[in-house]
Amino acid sequence: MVRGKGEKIFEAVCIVLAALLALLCLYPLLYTLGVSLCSEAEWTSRNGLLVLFPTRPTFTAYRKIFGVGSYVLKALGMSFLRTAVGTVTSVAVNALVGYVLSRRDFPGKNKYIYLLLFTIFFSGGLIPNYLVIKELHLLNNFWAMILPNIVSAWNILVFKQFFTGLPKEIEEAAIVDGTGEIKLFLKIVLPLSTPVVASIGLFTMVTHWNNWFDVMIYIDQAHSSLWTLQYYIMINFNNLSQIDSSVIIGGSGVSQLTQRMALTIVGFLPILCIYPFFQRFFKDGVFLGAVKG
Amino acid sequence: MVAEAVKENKKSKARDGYVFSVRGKALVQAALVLCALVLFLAGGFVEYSFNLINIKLGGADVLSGSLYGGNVGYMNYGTVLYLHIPVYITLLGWLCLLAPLACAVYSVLRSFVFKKDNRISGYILLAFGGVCIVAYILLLTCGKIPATDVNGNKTGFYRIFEVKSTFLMFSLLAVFAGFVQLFVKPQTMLKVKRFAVFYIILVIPTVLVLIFNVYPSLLQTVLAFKDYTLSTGIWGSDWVGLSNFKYIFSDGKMLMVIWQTIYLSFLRLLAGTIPAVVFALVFYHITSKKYKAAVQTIVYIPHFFSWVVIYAIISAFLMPNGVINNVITNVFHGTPIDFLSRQDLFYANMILSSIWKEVGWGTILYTASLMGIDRSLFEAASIDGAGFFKKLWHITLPSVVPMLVYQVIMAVGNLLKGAGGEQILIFATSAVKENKALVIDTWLYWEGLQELKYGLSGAVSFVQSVIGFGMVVGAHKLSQKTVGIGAW
Repeated sequence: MVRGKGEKIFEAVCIVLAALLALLCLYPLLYTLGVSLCSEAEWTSRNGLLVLFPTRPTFTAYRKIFGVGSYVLKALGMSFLRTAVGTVTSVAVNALVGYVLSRRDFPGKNKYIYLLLFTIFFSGGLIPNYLVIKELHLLNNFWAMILPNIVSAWNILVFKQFFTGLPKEIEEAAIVDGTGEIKLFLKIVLPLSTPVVASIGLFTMVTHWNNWFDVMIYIDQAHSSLWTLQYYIMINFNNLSQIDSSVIIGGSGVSQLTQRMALTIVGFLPILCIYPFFQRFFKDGVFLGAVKG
Repeated sequence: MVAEAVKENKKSKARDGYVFSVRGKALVQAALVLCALVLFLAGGFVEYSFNLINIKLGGADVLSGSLYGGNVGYMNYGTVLYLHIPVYITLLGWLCLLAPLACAVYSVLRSFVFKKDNRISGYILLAFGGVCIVAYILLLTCGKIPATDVNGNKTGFYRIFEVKSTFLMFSLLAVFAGFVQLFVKPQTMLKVKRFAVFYIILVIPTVLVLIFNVYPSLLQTVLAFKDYTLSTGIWGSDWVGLSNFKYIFSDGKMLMVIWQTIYLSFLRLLAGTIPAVVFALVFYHITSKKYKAAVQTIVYIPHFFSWVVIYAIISAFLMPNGVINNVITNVFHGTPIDFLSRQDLFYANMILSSIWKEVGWGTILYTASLMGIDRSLFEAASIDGAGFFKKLWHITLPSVVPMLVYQVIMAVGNLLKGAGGEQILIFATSAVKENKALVIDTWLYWEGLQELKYGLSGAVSFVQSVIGFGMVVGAHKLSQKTVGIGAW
């Protein structure tokens, strides 16, 4: 393609703009890391003007928030537990339902899809959901964070779409061979579906990790052992929460800000760790379906 | 001879298949009825709750109570008191036991002894289920149905009794059993048998959907027409007709809440589309694939962070001791600005940070449509003498228009839900809590849930979901008509 001078200049502008955007997205994260490693002495000597990293980084803030009897460690454990249980249950159920609905000759398939569409449009608001959880005696219970989030109509539809796209011959051959339906799913269909399972799984993971709203609604202060890390960070920052966040105290060599930033790093580091795995699915078509959902 | 034998064979096979199917159908029906009956007898049927006395009655309690003259005894501080169960409840209870049971037994007998299908049990089950649902609604809504409380005072049924949701489940199961009997052709039963394990798989998600989606929707609808008070509970509170809705659309504060929801949704629509389109175009014009991939990898990151983390990161910059204020005070010797607490900056903070979080991710959809452009178009245009901007205007931009229109239309459909309540709950300070930060979603939390305005909240979410549904469906139709992209 022949390119004129104007196009070259335009591309240069685009390259600069893209670089600026990337910098804008990356710098705050690095800065947060920098602050979390900064000692109080250095912070004051620099008048709080840290460009990126401190000259003498210290892990005191991390040692402090993970110190003996720390809430953060418990909250982190709870976050991991919730993410693991929530993701496994949700992906298992949604994949199975998606598979069931992908079978063309399954009697009752369309009616079930209508039920799922209903859930997309009509969900009880905040208060009915709260009342249901209360009625089931699930308040202050771990499962209040899991059960309502298991069935996701969008994810089921994405799964269904993917499974429908698989060659029909596999299915037919297996039926002729007399393979049971469950075996067919586990042994043949599932191994062919790693992209969709992984991308939905990763999205579900992120959603569970990031969720703090359920905790705020369903878990009270007396059951703070069920608090997840995100909620914990939230009450440490939120101006409206009346809960005293007693873990973060000034003094002892690192400032309050530094400790808060260390907490923030802990809050997003797991996401950054699984992020590279996302990348593999960016190219796949399934990803778009998941995005649209 | 041979042909006849083959024909005979076929006939008998068809007959066996038919018999098998009919029996299978009867067994499925019986199983459903059995599940329903277990739910009815062992689960809840009605619950009495008045003046701190709570008595849960399963179907079995009501039926056994009827053998003792319709009274159920309960212990109250060491003495036995009796609660009178209204006659119609007892009758309904017996009907609930006998009608489905009779149908199931009839079906099973008829299919196993006479090898025949029947429709009558299907009709009866449907009619019975219908009666149950009507009774359920009447008992919960009609104030004129008399009942007597434990002290012997006459009052309305729904004020002291609540028909449990398990009864509704029971009725729905009965209707479902009727449907199976009536509308499933015997031939389909062979398929049903093949897929038997699938139906078992579907049980768990179905139950979850019923409990966590369908039932809350029902509760919300009920609440919308009630004046909820804590002491009477949902079911015992007064029915108030449309007064909750009238309040929503006449009260100044509620109107402000609705207006701000629409306003913020609109702002978010602008913030979510324009920068994303611009940067999708920027990425599109970069030829180096590696550079592009690297940039895209970085800009997608913030999308995956929670608002909690985003707020924490932003606060490192904007707090009174954050970096921007340190620059202001130490470099320019100005006075620090508390950005995050300033009322006038509240929307700006939120919108700018949401642009920061979502701009990279937003480009994905537009990048996908840009990838669909046929490159030869550009060459053809160049040969025809089109300049760079002409090509941009006539080829590149039109290709993102369908996706853009789709996004705009869907956002309009989502106008009452798109204000970003989760973000506001984190960003709000006490200064804005009473005014700028109030949108429907935050109102539901701060006032609906915390101040126990359940009735009003029910009405608000009812309006939100019904209008939302209408608008999404309308938007979907419009989107399909104009740009050919549907929402599903």
